[in-house]
Amino acid sequence: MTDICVLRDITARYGDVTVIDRLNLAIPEGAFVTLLGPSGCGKSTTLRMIGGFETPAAGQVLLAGKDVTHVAPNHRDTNLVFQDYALFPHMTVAENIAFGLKRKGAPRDVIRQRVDELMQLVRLPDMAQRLPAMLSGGQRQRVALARALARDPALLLLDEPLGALDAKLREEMQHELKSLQRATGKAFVFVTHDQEEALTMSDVVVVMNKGRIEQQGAPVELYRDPQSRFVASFIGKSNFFEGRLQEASAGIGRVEVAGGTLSARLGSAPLKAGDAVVVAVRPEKVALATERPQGNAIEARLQSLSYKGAKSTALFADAFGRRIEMDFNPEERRIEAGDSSVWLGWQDADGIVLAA
Amino acid sequence: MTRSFAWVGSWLLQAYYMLFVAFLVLPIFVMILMSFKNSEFLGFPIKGLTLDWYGAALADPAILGAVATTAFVAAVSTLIALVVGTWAAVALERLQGLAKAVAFVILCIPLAAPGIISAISLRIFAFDIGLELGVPAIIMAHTVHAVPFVSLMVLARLSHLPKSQTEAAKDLGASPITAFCLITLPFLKPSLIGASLFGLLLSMDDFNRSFFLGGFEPTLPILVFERMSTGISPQINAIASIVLLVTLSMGFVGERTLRRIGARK
Ligand SMILES: Nc1ncnc2c1ncn2[C@@H]1O[C@H](COP(=O)(O)OP(=O)(O)O)[C@@H](O)[C@H]1O
Ligand SMILES: [Mg+2]
Repeated sequence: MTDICVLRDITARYGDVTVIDRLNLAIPEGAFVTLLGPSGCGKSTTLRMIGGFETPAAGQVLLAGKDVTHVAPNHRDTNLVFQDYALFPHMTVAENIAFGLKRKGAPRDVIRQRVDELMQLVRLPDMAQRLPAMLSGGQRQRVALARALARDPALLLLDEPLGALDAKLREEMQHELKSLQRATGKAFVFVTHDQEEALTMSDVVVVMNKGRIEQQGAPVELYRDPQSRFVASFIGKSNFFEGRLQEASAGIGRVEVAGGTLSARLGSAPLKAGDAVVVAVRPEKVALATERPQGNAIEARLQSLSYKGAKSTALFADAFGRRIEMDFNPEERRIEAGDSSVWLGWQDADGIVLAA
Repeated sequence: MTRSFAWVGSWLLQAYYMLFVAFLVLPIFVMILMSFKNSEFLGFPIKGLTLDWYGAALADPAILGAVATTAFVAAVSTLIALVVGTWAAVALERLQGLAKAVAFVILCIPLAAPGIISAISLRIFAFDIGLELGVPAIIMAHTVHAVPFVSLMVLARLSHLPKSQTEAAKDLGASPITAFCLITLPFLKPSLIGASLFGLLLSMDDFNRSFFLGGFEPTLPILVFERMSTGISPQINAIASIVLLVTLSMGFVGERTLRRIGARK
């Protein structure tokens, strides 16, 4: 598969502050790629450099194989769905969608046909003559999408487009966006700080932190094999046990932690004996027992229970002040509130050793 | 105790307010009344009413000429001020930090200068650049006077235009100029209408600049002033009343237009 867009050693600065630091990224043709990271990590800046609204201080932006680093946005074959939608308030829905086509100088009947087609695509019939102020949040979102798709760009950029919607509508739009992406076969670069949203929609998730890419891969890969403590805590939840690596062999590391040793898979980053590490364990992998289990075992007391339906959480604390979360299904097992200590355990393969 | 006398305070306040309003509108009211009086002598008692003074005023070629000059000066100076003022506002909005603050202060200085000082300095300026006194000089002076007002009104609204609006236009293939014409200008429409009305009124009402830079074609305020030095007549009241009517209806139409735009948004 070829890459529709490539960022090569991109650096971005505002004044003296370096916001993006030598970033490399390839967007495969037809892929749904999500930039995920905490607020302020440089997602929008990256997107805006692809769209042409910021010029990198160093590095190159390639679009369909051509260097567009210094090409103005109106001459780039990308379109951006803005976070605030940026619909033109004095134009009707149809005029908004037609805006980009008119700039191309398309004939009037071609424009009308394309506008109709797009309004069908985003499921907004009968709204052509309305002004944006008369639309709901979800409808505005769809108009913004239709407007950005109108010119049939090589790459569609979306900057947290669902941020302003309420939870239910948001989920609906996630599915719609995904099927729209499949239907158009276009590459989408989607920005969000919501990991659940990223996991639901993407073919590739790019986890960013402080202007760098922490890790990228398919959602399953990122969830199963986080390669840093940041990714392990940002994608899903993890329990962390800090310690020192005693020995590493056959892909399994033995880690000395307060109160004993734990065994877990080694992450892909090279580690050697004596390194400060953490063992990360997902809450749904933790098992509860009254007797000390074989292998990994932590003695702890129940702190609190929070009922959340099938995926409820129990929070434990051990003698060393560590808090351990466990997911469980209250339909399958009961956890009694009580003062007695219990044992928590997990398989070696369910933990992963990461650099601290 | 305090309560039972509260009505005295409220009554006094009301009376004071009435008096204040009367003080404001009474002179205007008397002026309008005198324009209908059927005698050369301004003052009470009024024995009979007539429209003759209006007829005379509207038949006087000097007055008609002055009206035409005033309207021409107002229209041209407002138009130029609109273009220059908007351009200055857009340029200023792009600046950052100290440069922006300095540019803003420079823009505001003319507003603080007394009218007569401004008029004299503009006359000297006209002389320096070899501009003869007369209609073009008045237009120049009125334009210079109106530009800061236009800029401030445009700036006030421009600062509320989200950056994403013009960015979206460019994203969709518009050149910076097209984006300005199709997105920024329509957004500025209310303040442009307001600024035009204000510029027209400012110019029509101006005495200082028209006086110091005028040649042989007086604007209406200058003509009225000249007529008054040879003796006051109800004809002047008639002119003034017509000007008042025009001004009020301009204000009214402007207000309605702005409200209509506001309601549509
Ligand atoms: N116009 C700007 N001027 C100065 N700093 C900026 C500007 N835009 C963004 N930044 C800074 O750059 C960093 C990255 O911003 P951004 O790309 O918007 O992050 P994100 O979209 O991930 O929240 C932030 O620290 C932000 O404060
Ligand atoms: Mg952002």
